[in-house]
Amino acid sequence: MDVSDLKKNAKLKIDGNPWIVVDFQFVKPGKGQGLYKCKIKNMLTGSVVDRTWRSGEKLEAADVESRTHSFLFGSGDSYTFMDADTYEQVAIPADTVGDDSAFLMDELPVDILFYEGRAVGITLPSHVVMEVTECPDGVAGNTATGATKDATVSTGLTVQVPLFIKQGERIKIDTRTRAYVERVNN
Amino acid sequence: MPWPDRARLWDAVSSGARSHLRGTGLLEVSTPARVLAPAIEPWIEPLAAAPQWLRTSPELALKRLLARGVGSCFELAKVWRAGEIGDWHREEFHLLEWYRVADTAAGAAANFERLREDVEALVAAAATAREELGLSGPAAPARWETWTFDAAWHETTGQTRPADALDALREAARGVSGAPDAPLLARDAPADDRVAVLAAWSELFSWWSDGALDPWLERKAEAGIGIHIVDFPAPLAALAEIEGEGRDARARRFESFIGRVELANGYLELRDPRAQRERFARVAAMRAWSGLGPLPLDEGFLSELGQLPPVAGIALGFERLLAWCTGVRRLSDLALEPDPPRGSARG
Repeated sequence: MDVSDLKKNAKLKIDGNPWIVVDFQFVKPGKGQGLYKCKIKNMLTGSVVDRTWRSGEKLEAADVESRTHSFLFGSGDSYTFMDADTYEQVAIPADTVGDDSAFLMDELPVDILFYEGRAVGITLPSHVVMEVTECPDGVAGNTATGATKDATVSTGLTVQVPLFIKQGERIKIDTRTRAYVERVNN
Repeated sequence: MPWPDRARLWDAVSSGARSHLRGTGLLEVSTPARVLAPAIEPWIEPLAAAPQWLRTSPELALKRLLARGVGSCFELAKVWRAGEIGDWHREEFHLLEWYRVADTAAGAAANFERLREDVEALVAAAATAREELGLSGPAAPARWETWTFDAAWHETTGQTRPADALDALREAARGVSGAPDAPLLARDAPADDRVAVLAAWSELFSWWSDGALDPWLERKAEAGIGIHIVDFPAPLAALAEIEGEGRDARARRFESFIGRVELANGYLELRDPRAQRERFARVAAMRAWSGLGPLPLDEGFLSELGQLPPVAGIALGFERLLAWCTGVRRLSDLALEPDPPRGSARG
């Protein structure tokens, strides 16, 4: 692709890695060569760097696509998902899933990123609703604003919740911060 | 900015500009937007309007009018430049372009100075017009400074401006913030040394502008100072006269800035058809080397250039004037139509 096709969210292959353009600015002094000043994010590691290209430069587009899958099961060293449209299954190494495995419950929809046909990462929904499986009762009389306690949810993840939350209740959790958001009524 | 304010601003600032230019003896003209041959420039791409082109500036057409004796004139011209999309660029915009004709070369040189006063007057008029509409925006610069290109280079880099030679330009690039580690023209340079120097200067100028000049211009603007930069390196002359030779060669070209906003680009106009033909050929060679498509040569313009009277001319980015005077940070904030999706306007 030509550098003039750059835009936000363009996906580029640089040094073998897929990068996404997160910010983009075109500058060009009178009669000078145009500069495309970009912030690009490595789609595998998340690291963000500044990169400037000149008018006339050629870039390689990254073969990247994201498809929604639902979680089926984990087997210790990998996690298996099913494409919501084609029912095709894909197993992703535990290393690739990383800490996100703490949110993987049956049928959870996740976006799987494929780079050159290979699954290289998952993106969780920003919020999930999970059942509290273990949680001590609130301490009577302790009503201090902001007081919290540990609660363990169905996948084994522990989060801080307000004192009024009880075992068996369902709570909404922010997957990016792992913070309790609210109680969800059935 | 609300749509009615955008429309009123356009009307008021364009009226103010017309009134200044007409009031100082210029005639308003209108030349064709669709042309057989656009000006051949290193990094300005025309949009095709097959079998013709949309003009990237009215310069060639206006100079032909001047050659036919029309006299000092101006045009508020709609122009198109493919791929120029950014906060301060749009593919479709207006150039306010005007020419002050003289009887003698000395008269044209005086008019070249006069163009700077015109820019200052138009900026002041725009600020006044905006204020009268009750819109907010920055005050016009309290004063303007004129710097030579060489002095501005030294002030912003601490270095002497490089000579017009490939080695010197490559060396200079290493001292300019933001320029790539790989030297200019990392691949094989064009065989013709003058083409290589043109390509290298076109690139180095951009790195210098972005990394060193712009921050300095910003500080000047914060202190209420607008800047004219005069006497460019000869390879960056474009369609301007070159004076002197060798190390002393300088292009009689200037640019006017308020902060990072490059408002206008003026020339003491080149009148020698042979020199102009050589420059077009050099730019065409550089374009070919850069992988840019060939453009037809405007033989009609070259055939009339010999009759061009002594003249100084300038083009001002009209939307940039509007944006500056209201303090918006993007031209699209003042456009009378939202931007088309990127890539949809390719020629």
